[in-house]
Amino acid sequence: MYLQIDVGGLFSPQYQNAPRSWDKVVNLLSHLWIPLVVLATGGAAGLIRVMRANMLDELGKPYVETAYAQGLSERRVVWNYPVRVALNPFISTVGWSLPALFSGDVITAVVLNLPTTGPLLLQALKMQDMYLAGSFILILSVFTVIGTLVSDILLAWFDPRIRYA
Amino acid sequence: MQVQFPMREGSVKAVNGVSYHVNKGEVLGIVGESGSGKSITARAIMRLLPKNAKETGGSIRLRPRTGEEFELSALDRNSRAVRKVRGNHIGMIFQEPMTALSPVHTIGTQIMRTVQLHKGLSKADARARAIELLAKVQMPRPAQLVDAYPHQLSGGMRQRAMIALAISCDPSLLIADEPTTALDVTTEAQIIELLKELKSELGMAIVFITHNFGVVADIADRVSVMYLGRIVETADVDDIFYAPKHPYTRALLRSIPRLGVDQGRRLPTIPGMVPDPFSVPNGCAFNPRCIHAVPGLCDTKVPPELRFGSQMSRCHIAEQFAQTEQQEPAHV
Repeated sequence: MYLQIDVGGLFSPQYQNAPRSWDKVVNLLSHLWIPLVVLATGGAAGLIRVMRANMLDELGKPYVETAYAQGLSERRVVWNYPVRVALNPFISTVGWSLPALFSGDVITAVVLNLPTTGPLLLQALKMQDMYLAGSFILILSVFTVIGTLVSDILLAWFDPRIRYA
Repeated sequence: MQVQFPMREGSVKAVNGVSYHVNKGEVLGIVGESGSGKSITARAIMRLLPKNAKETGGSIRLRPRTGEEFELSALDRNSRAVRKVRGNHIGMIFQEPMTALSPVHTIGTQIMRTVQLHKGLSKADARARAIELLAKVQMPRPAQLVDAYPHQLSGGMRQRAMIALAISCDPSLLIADEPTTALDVTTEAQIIELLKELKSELGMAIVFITHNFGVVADIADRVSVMYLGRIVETADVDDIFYAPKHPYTRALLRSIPRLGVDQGRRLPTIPGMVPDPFSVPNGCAFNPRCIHAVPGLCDTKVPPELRFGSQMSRCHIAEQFAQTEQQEPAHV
């Protein structure tokens, strides 16, 4: 218990074995936000760097100047043109967060005592349970492939040049 | 007009007292080599100078067809007032049609955005206007290509789309910054023909920036020659070619290869290199490379603007050129 908030686990003790109910869902959500913040901010720094580098590349391109020359305001120019183009590499990597979401962050899970697969893999490796560990990694790979596919579909939807190439 | 770039190594005077005017329905050609300040001057008119540029003086005024008068030099880069002028009263065509159009929007969307912004048209009207504009710039199948992305078009078609974008709000002034440099000569000729037609149809003034004298001869009414941030000579297009009064113009004209003439002889070139912009020579900036330079005069005093009718030359000895011309018509 920190700051009067129960942070560990997925449920408070009294809901641990309770039947399904709305109260239980609310209790789940009140526990879920901490791992959510941890997982989200953990990747954010990297993505921000990627986005920043892309934006710096794009802002100097001639089409941005064309957009200014059309008389659009600075805000509309930036959001409608270079951001649209700079998002590409961002979108192509965002699919990799799918396996990360599934496996959870092992450390987050262990620290917060969450029953995700992270600690399970850790356990399996500790116990030399190669069947469990092997199939676990297989599932992760499958998710990576699916995530990449989702990224590709998103990219094609977002950038016409990729659609036709 | 003056524009400087303050830098660690000292400030670069990219535009150093340039002054020109364009009348309604007139084409002013601006010629000069890379780094002579042609594009920076154009960007100053559009208020699109790089953020590190510093304007140290001068004024830019625009009186569009509507009769209002704008003091562009007093407007801030991103002010509401200047955004009303850009795209609306002044259109601009850029050099690289490959990269000057947004790769992720259809050309129709880009034109519609401008029209909707300045003319307040509805989406359907703006689309009709975009198709009409594409037809006007002789784009084939305008109704279909309005939905095309730039990468689906050829270079010439992209430049046509670019022109359609620039003239979408019937601007009073069109600035064309080397619009044909990236195109092959056949397409270049078509684009110039198109610009001439549009000029007489819409009555725009055009500032045509280029480094190609052939293009200038084709399209311009008057020509300004720039060297190192200064206009060294301004004249009607015929005078530039038949009675140039600045040694730089004369040297440039001599170094254009001509078919059938002087076969087997080396093409005359201008001796030396363009000085580095941090250390512009004293006096006339062209004096170290000038074959007519007078020691003690050209390397100490900046030549004044000497006028010969409608012709202006910044050269101490321009009088001599004028006199020899009268004796024997120029042969350059």
